Amino acid sequence: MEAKETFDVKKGIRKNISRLLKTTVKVILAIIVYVLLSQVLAPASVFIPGLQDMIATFLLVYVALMVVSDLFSGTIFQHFFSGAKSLFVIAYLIFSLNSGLLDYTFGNVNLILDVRLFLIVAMLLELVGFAKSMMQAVNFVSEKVELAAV
Amino acid sequence: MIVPIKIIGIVGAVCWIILIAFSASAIYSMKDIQFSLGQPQISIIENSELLFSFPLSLTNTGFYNLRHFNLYTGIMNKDGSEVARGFTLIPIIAQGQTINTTHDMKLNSTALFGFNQDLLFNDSELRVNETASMNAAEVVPIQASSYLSVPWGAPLYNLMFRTPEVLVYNATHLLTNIKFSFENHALFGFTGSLRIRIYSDAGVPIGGGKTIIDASPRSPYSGNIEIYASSRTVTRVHFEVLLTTQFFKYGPLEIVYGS
Repeated sequence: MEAKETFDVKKGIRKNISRLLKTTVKVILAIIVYVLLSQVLAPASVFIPGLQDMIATFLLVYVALMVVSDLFSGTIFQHFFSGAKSLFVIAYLIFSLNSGLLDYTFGNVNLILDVRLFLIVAMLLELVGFAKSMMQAVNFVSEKVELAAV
Repeated sequence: MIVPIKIIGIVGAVCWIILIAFSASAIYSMKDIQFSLGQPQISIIENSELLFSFPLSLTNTGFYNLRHFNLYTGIMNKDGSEVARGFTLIPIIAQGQTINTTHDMKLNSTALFGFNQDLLFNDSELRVNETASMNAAEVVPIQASSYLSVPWGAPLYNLMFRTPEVLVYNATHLLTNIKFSFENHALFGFTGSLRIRIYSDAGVPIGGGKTIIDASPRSPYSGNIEIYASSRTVTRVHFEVLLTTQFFKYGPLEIVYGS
């Protein structure tokens, strides 16, 4: 009995360490993506003021929700946080991209950038992501019920 | 159920990577679009219109093609009415391609001077609206527009008629020599005719003459016109001046001479 308990504790620690490692890898990947994007989009920052801040804020909240979601891995909350992440992305994109029409003024030059196509595709992908999270939550609950029934 | 969910997740992630890569490269490509508009060539076409041809050069060294490049130039009068406009549409600029063309703009002098003859005599400023639009990476519409003021040089700046010199030509006629001058501040030169008619104080025509004008751009011009008038006794005459060029008409201007 004692040996089994020790085995369970070890298994739990190993599971938590692997979860932490997974989360760390994801955070590192997000930082790499941020650094790469910052460099690629540096020329555009001249025309779009606040672009770097916009990306940084987005990644910060996205990574935070991803970390929380991963830390709750193995519970139903993981899927709720994952769904919240998708909804956050949709809302953030709509607000930060001004519903897809970006309007900037430099001196006497007015620049209008129409990114509605990007916004629609991104929103559709996130809606698919949200649907996936809900399906995972349903699957999680149904598995629990099946296990209890067995 | 787990397998389809995982497939949805993988497909979603792949789509996100493609979308981000495409968006980032499309924005990055914009810095490789070079656009230049040169000094205009000015020519005169039918219906009193001036044609300004701006050499336009576009180089696309970005990753994607550009579609529907459209350049619009509109020149507005002081009262906001459009006096000149030009459109240039390039359907596609392929990746790595350079396109050299001209951006043509027609200036209708009737519309320009018809309502505002002040522009013939006084230097001024015209408002120009320049708008360029295109589909970057074929699917991302971008539009840049600007309002600026351009100086307008009056073609008949400081038009002056000197006091007529009257000489006796013969027993019945007098020779009247009228000197005139102006400065053509405009970017374009013009040719035309200056016609003067002399009327007696009773309004009876007593003579008239005509001279040809050939004014170069941005240069002063002076000339004279000789008029043979009947030598009847008049104390007061008035001159009627009519100027006709290939793209504007001015007159009749009445000048009273005598006491």
